[in-house]
Amino acid sequence: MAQTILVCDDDREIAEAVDIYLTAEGYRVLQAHDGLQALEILQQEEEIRLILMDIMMPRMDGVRATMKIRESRNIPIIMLSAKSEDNDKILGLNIGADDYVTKPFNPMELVARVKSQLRRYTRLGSVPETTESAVMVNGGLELNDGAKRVTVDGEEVSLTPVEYKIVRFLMENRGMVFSSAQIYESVWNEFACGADNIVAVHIRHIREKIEINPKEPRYIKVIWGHGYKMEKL
Amino acid sequence: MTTTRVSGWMKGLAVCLLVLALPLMSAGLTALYQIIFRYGALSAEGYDSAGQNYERLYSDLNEIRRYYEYWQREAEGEVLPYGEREAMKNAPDVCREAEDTNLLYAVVNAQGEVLLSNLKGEDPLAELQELTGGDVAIQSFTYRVEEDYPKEEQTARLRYLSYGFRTGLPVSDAYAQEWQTAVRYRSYLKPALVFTAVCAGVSLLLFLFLAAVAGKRKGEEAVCLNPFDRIWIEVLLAGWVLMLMLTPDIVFSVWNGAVWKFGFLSLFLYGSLTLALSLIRRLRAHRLYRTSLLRQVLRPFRALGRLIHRSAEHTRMMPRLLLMILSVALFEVFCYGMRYSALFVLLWVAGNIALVLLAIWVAVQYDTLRLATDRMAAGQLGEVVKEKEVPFFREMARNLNSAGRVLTAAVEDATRSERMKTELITNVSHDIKTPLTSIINYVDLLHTTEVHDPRALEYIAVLERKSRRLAQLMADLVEASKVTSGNITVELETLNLGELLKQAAGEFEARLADGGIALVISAPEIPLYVTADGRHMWRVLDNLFGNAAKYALEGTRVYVDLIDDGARALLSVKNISRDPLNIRPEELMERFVRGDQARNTDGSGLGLSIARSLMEHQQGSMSISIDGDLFKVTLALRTAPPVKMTQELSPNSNGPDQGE
Repeated sequence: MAQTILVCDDDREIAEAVDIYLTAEGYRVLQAHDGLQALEILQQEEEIRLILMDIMMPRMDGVRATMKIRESRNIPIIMLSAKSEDNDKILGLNIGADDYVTKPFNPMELVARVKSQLRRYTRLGSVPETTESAVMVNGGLELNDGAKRVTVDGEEVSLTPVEYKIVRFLMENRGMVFSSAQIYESVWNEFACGADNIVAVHIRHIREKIEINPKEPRYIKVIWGHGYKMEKL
Repeated sequence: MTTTRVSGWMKGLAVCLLVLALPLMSAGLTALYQIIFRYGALSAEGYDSAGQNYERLYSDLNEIRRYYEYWQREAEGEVLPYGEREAMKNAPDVCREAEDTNLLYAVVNAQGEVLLSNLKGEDPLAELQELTGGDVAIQSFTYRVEEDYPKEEQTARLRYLSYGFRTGLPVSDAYAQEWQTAVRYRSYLKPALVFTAVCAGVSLLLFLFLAAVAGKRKGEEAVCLNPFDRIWIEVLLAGWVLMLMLTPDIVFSVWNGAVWKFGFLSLFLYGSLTLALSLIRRLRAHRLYRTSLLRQVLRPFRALGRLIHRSAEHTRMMPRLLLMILSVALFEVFCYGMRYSALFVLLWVAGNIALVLLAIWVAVQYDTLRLATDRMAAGQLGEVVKEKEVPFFREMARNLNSAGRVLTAAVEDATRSERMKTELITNVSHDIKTPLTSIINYVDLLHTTEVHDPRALEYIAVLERKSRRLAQLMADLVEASKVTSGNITVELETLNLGELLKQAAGEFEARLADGGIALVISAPEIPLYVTADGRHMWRVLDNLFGNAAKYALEGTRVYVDLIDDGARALLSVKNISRDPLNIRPEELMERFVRGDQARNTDGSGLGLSIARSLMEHQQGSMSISIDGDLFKVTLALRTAPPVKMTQELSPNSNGPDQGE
């Protein structure tokens, strides 16, 4: 059965475009053009699994609407806004949005993020699947050390052995910052020397594989001048 | 003042010539003087009365007078002492005999009787007239007369000395020899005159030339003075006047030899010309007064004059101050007058203590005010000083405070306007982004339609590229506006620049490799800690590496060097530009300027401007140098003490959460 997504944007063309993209991916899409309308539709339709919400809208803006929705529901909400300031993103995420996409957006990325949120939402509802000790879970990222498998939002990603070792090392030490030398020493088991950027290159490759937008990573973050860390989600 | 075309060697030559010409002229003048005045006194008939100038005649006449005196005293029956007798015996022949001399004389008393003569005839006077052809001069003298003799006695001892020369100087004596010499010398008068005139003319021309070029030097606008021109002009003038006064005495004196006259005259001419040239230079440089002693003497008076002049302008303070000093002085005088009364001594002590306290009171307020201005200069504006604290300078304090308030308002205005500018750009960019989103999306959606015309597909590709470019431009614009207006937060921390460089290189290696550009990094083995904001530093390196990826020539290498300079860490990025960089480095850092004037590459032209602003916000700096096609950016950051980065290793701590 097709999952239902609510797109809320006062710019009808953008709402329509998003509608087209998501419909092409097999979703059922409903459109609203302001916050109040979104709330109304949400009350009528129980089956909505995800909301794409613009911020600046007439009658009721996206922030107020999101807060209103969060009072009763915990369905994923992705903010979709032309406001690209850090402050706007932080505000959006703090009031209960699950993700924040800035306009102009890349349609592929938007669809990927929608999929990711939907998978997590549905899986979170139906977890736990397996709780083996060899399995490490961090948000949508799952590492099965027994099967040497890494999945993102349920989809398997193929990593090289070195990349796998780096991901495992970071997953084991979630939230901690490691310099590239430290990562090198623990993954290669050799003394790191020189200004070699091999770790940085591997991490970039990993990010390209497991992140929706490698430039805005969710899992493996760069702490500039210090090292890398696996974000604790 | 225009520059002269006369070169130094010409001036030098002129000076040398003048140095030669002046003594020659002096020699000529001396010779002329000798010819005209020494020998010119001879008339064709022989020695005339003007011949008195002539020293031989002068001394001969002296001898005659003395001889007469001895003779007269013997005639009066006096027995002369031995010395005088001997002197009389040794007197020149001319006194006694006219046989072998041209000089003839007769001493006559007031009654016209001839007393003594070297003519031994009956009537010596007539003989004198006859032999000299009437050219007889008469001197009067008195012999052996003291000041206090009565008048009659003086008249009685008055004698007349008539003398003259034999016509044609027939006797071959010293006079005749002198006369022959004189005649010979006088034949030199004309050549000497011509020689002197030529020397004088040449000297004058040389002097005029030197005067014309005095102080001018080839290729220099300003008048050049030499050390001599710094000597006080009065001293030089005094020396010159002294010489001027001495000159006639020396030059026109009978007693000085020709060498003396010549030497002194040359010296005088040298001095005069040097002084004249120095005067011209000083006048030309408008420094005559400044190099004068007068100025030195007047200087303290001028300072005093200025002080009085200025005090007249400050009429508010002056009467008060003078009144105060005057009253204090009166009080002191009064107390001095009463110094034997104990009461007034007490009063004097109390008065002075009060005065000291008053001075301290004022000094403290003055210092309070001074500290307030210090704070103001350091940027602390607003109310810098409390008016109540400085009653003595209340007005000044009020002015300072109002200036501080005005400045605060101005600074606030400037900040607000800068912030409004940033807000405006942010809002405009937001308004543009919404329609841009539709453009990008619908261009993308065109792909899903049934368009197969290759031309249409090409157009769509162009639209796609350009709309994305527009989005990037908007993002850069907003960032540049925020960064340059300082509307960003900077969190300075200690970080390892070497690690950051490795991370950035890892991010960019693939992109550079796509463009056929190799990355060559040299960095110290040990961590290099700096004080910076990691995210901003990444943004800077992102821009620099991005530039290299966009503008470096394919197949070249990008060199990145990290050096520890002690106090600073220097990171340089060098690459060979694909396009010629005919542009100044400063221009490149200005907003919207790009290396390619045609602007047909990606990029907004804001990258370097943003990077530089970010470096400045991190208390670092960025400089660009261009050498041909070699483009070099150098970043400088303060190094931080090598803190031990234990937080990375401790398992329970989260690292600084600044992921992007």
